[in-house]
Amino acid sequence: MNDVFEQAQRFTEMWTNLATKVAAASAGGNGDAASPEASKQIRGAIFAALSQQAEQFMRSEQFLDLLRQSMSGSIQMREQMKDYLTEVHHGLQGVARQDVDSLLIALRHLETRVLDRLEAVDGKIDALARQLKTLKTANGGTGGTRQRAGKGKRH
Amino acid sequence: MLDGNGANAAQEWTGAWADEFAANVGRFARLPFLWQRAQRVKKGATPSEVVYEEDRIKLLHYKSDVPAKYRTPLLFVFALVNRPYILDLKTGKSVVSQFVERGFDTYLLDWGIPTDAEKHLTLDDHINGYLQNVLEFICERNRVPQLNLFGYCMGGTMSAMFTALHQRLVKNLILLAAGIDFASRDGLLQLWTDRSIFDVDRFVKAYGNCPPIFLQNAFLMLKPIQNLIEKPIGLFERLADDEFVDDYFTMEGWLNDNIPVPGEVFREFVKYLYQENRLVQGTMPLGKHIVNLKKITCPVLNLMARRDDLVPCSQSRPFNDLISSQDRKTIEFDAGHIGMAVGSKAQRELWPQASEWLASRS
Repeated sequence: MNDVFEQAQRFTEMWTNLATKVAAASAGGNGDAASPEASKQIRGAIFAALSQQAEQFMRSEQFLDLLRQSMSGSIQMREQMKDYLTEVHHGLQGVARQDVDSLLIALRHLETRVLDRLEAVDGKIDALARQLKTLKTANGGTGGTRQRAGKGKRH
Repeated sequence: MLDGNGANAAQEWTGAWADEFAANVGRFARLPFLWQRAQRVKKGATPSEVVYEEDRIKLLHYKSDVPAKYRTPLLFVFALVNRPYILDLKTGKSVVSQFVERGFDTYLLDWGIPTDAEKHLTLDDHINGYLQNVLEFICERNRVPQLNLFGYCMGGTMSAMFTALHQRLVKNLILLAAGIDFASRDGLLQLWTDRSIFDVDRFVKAYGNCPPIFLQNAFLMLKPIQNLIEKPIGLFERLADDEFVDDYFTMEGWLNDNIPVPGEVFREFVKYLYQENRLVQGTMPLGKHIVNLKKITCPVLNLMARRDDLVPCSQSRPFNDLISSQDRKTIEFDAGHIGMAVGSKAQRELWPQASEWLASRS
């Protein structure tokens, strides 16, 4: 019960502060308070006050709690939808997104293993090329250089 | 009965409101044609050609009538969360054209739009894979051993990491509003991504790639009054100003052109940077490597926006103290995150300074 009163008190404080700032901004007009330009100035001051209050609110515990709950709720809904659709697809003997994801992960791991092996081979070839160059230089010849093939499409 | 002064004031008051009423009638009359105006927006100002492609990424090379004055080419790297043409938005609002006209052989890396199949790609794939391939291609194409690297926002963070791991390929490094140290809570994003609030593992498992609407809404909520109320009112009041309306729709077109972020990249960026702040601690993993910013020794220009609510200065400022470069400069400019690139003041004052800095080191 105390939590409810505390929350209510915090909300009341927030809106009271906002109203005070808006009133202060509105009272800052000059003698031509009704002219369009002066009205725009007052409006600008009100928006600045609102912005400040919005920033404070978005740093407050209430907002962060709301954010946490909202995120958790969205994610939970998404997870439930995914599980439901997976069951439906499987029930209809079809392929679900989860199956495609598993396949992609398997391919990715395979790619990583192959690339790691290629890197190791590349390292050994580089080492051999360096040794060969050293030998040739020692014997009075000139060492060759490796051409690097890029992976992408060049234009 | 009103005296002379009172009658004058009342007359002025009536006149001012009559003018405002007439202006509003004019504005309302333009409203039906706004949709057509919005469709006529063009993306990109400087002519370019695609010179390299790999999977979804493209490398743009900017063409110039004038031959390049500097041998070392320049590569722009933008974030993965938006399209990169913000750097070449329109004539008079293009960072790219400032450098092209200065005489740099300029390239831009377009990360493309990731599909669901790319959700397992990591920061390592992007930095030590795509980015390294692109840099090596440019060096080979131009027959140079190094190039100048320019990173903006998340692209700046990635460029810093790349330079730490491949310093031999980078001659000069320019960072624009790049997040490096995520310890402070100056920015709302740093607060909202705290691990007590945002479970990034669960999010990525549920959604795969980070949906564009998620980030778009998050950015919108950083300044809700400004984005949802002040901006539309500002547009309405200046509907008679064709140049303003054109700029507005060009900018809004880009702001709403968000793309998904590959799931694993999103997870690593949020977890290792926003939540664990590993880059400044020297424990940032990138594949099999650990990023050590001390390995950066090239000249560095660190540009920050004083009114940046997305990447506050406190995130970028510590960078120059974490590297080993002798030649390092910081410029804190009075602009916002996007204003640094497209704002008139930045185009007039900041970019000539930055291009001069690079020219003197190329």
